[in-house]
Amino acid sequence: MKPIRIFLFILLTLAVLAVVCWLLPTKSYIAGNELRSPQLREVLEIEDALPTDTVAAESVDTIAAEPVLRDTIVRDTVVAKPKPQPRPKRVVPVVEEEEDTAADTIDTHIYLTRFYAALQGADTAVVRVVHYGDSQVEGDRITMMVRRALQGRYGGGGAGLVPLHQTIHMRTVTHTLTMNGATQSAGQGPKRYLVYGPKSNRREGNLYGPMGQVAVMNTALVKGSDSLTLHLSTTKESIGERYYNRLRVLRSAGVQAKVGQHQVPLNGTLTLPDSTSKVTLQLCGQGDVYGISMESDKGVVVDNIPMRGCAGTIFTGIAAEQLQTFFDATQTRLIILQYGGNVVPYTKTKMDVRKYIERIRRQVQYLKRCAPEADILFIGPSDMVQRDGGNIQTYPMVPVMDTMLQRLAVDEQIGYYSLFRAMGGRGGMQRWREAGLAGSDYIHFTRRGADKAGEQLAKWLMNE
Amino acid sequence: MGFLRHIFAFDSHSPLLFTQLYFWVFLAIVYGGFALIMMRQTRRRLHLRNVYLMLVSWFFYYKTSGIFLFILATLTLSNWLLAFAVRRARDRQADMRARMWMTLSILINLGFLFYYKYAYFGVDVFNSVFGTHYSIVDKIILPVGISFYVFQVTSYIVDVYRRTVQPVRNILDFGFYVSFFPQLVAGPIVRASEFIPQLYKPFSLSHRMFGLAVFWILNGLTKKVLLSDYLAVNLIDRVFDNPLLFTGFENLFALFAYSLQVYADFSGYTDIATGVALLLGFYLPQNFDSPYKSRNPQEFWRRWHQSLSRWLKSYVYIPLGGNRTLLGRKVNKLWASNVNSFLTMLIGGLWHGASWNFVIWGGLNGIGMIVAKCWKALKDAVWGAVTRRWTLPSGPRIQALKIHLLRVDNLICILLTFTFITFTRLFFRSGSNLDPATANRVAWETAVMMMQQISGAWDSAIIPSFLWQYRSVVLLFIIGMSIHWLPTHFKRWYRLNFALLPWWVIMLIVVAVVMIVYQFVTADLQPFIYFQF
Repeated sequence: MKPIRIFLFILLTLAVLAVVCWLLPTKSYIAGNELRSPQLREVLEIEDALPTDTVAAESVDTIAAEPVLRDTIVRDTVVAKPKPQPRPKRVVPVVEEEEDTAADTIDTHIYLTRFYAALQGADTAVVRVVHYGDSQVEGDRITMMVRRALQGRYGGGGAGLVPLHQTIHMRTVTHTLTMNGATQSAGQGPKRYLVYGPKSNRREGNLYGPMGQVAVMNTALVKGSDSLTLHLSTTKESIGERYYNRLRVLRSAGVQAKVGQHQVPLNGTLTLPDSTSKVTLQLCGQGDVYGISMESDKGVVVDNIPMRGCAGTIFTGIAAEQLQTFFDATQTRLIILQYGGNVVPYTKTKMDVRKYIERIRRQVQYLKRCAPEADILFIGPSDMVQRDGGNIQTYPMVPVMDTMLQRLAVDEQIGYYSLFRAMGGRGGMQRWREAGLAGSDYIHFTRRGADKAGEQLAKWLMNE
Repeated sequence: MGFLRHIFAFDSHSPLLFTQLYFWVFLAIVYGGFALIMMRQTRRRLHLRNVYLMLVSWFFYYKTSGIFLFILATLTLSNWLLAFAVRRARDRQADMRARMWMTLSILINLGFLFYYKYAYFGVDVFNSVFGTHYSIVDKIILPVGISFYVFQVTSYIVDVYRRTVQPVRNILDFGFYVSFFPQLVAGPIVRASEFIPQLYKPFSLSHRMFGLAVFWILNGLTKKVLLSDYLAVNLIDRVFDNPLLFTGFENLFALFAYSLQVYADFSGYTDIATGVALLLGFYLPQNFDSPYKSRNPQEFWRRWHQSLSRWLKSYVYIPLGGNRTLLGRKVNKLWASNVNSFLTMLIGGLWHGASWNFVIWGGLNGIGMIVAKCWKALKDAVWGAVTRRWTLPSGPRIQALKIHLLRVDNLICILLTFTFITFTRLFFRSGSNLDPATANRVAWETAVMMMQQISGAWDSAIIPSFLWQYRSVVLLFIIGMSIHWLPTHFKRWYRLNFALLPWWVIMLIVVAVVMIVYQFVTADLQPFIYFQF
């Protein structure tokens, strides 16, 4: 073939492609499947930069003191992805931002005054912080940095609560559960029930404990064994919280807990040497185990309680008496709720967001009743992106939800920390991704990103 | 205006990539000029073609790396000049002088490579060894493709010294050889002896070769977008970023999928380069030969990135002593061969990236090769002893059984090799594109976390849900591996039949493939789904 013929072939091919692009709409449907077509306009006009908020012009390195957090796609159950249905050409609604109100400018630190007051007495008493969240905080991510900062300044030790059956590796605690010398992995050992996740994980009644999960043990049924053994060891990485001197086992009356020859009181703590970083716990009997807490007798104790796939609307599903008893007995002074990301992909309109906000309001009010001595801090979703054709852009409802959560916080007089704004607003997730701070799912932070988000949150929390 | 600016202006964030429309428009424009020059095939026109393509290649490199074009030009000039010095010294029997010129040339080549690629690593190693805290003040940006063209010019100067290649008389021809744009940034590493003779041959492309060129381009594009990018974005990267969010099965699947991804990515790029070069009338050497069909790591490295393997063999393994000497001393053949192979693999690992995790990866491959060689030697020895000691039964049934057993043995070996190679990549993938210190830490931590999940947190109950929810990813993986494992003669058959199609059918197929590829480029991100709570 002569080069000129090949050249004509190339030209003709490009021309046919151009005609196809011109003829086909951006999206069409063939047998129920969406067919996208490149548009000549988008090819010829290069977008120079990502759309960003005006506050977002900062580089990732200079983003001010706030973290990012968002939950991953919310699925309380493993359900099938909705099948794409043939539908009329639908454009993602352009959502105008909520108009600014006075509530949007309020610095919600003022709603955390009891917590700050308690911190001043942390040299003699315990100040407990319970950090609930979705998958963003799994494995002690983000929480670890907050704990490190608070314990570094106000003292305290221990990594806080861990469940009996740990299915998620923690950065700060090595956790091994054995039965008859055999390590119990996921699906083995005591039956776990969760207040979140698939409905098949629920139990009858609402006794899930403060971690939202319970392990039901019955060692009498285990042949040749009369106890479970739990080895807990705080890792070097945890630094500040590595050493602790008290152990608490949240459980029902039928379960006995021992460390060596020492019985752990049912409603109290077992005192350990000050430099404890490892403990071996023996458990036997029948009943519920809600969690094991490694803590100090003064200073700050911070719990990390991740709930994978959760939207944060489950607290009313946990018995109020259990929560009240825990918050009261452990001197909980701050409850952090970090949710919202799991609902973002499924909220299409402002009405959807409002419905979610009202559900969150009920949870906040419920927790206030359960922990009257504690302040509450809500952390909204981080920036989240979706792909629209070849472009990656922020979900339209993220800024809306962020604004509405801020207003909810003012209404309910709780703290609010905007991860979305901390990341630089719109396009923040993509910038974090490019900086290696967020994963390729544009949902979760990388370890570095989680550390950064945690540091920012700690700075904000400590009003630095 | 934006469109033209995108094609012609330098933008460090937006290099010309084979997977972008802009590259193809660029190619169309380039091909227009090329066709115009080749209207007549005189010697002068051929020379003009070479100059034209060299300028186009330089422009392409400028689009990709901006001012680093200077390095390419410097290396071209220095190697071109020093090659004459080497040759002249050789002709005058002044071997020492020839060696000196060659060494100087290699030092210049490697100097650029070490500065731009290994400076951070070198400082990191120095600090570790001597407990110092030096750091590099200026940010060093790695020029695109420097590893490839440095190796290319190094092979040229060594070949001139070895008298296997004549120095190229015309610097423009030599510049064209060094910078030929289809293979400039990602190989294959072309030797002068393979490429230079083509500069003086008239353009000739049969309809069949034209069809093959288009086939390679489509093949590469599909591999790159479907099997590499789609799998990466929708599963693999997520798992490698946060292994603990996923169960053991998901980690394992992602690890194997990564093996397909890295192959599809690299070989896809090479396929496109081969096709584009062919359209311009140049033949590039084969770079991949279904590497996951290999029965042992040694064979794998003969099939994977063949141009690099050949380069390492010729310019590292053999100079190290090959299977004859070790550090200049004559030793046992097996011993020399194994140690030199291992050292070559370490260097090969370092070539892939400037951090310890790549060295570890290279070392693991080296160990794998040695173990496989020893295993084969042991097997042969045992089998030899058995056949000497006993007379084995024979006959048609026994023969059939032997063939059957051989097939099973082949299958096991292929799967074992694939698994081994896949697991070594724990170190390869985890530390890519990071500074050396971070790369080592991240690679190690990621590898540990993934192994921890794979060995412990294996929740088999979620496997069906995972397979269903990620069916597009799983299906692509199965299709990709199935095609990879198709018999070679069958692949050759459908390739040839494609090439023989009428031009307008080929064009329609091109349009259809582009539309399909576009669906994957713009597909919604796979929703994140939890299977374990």
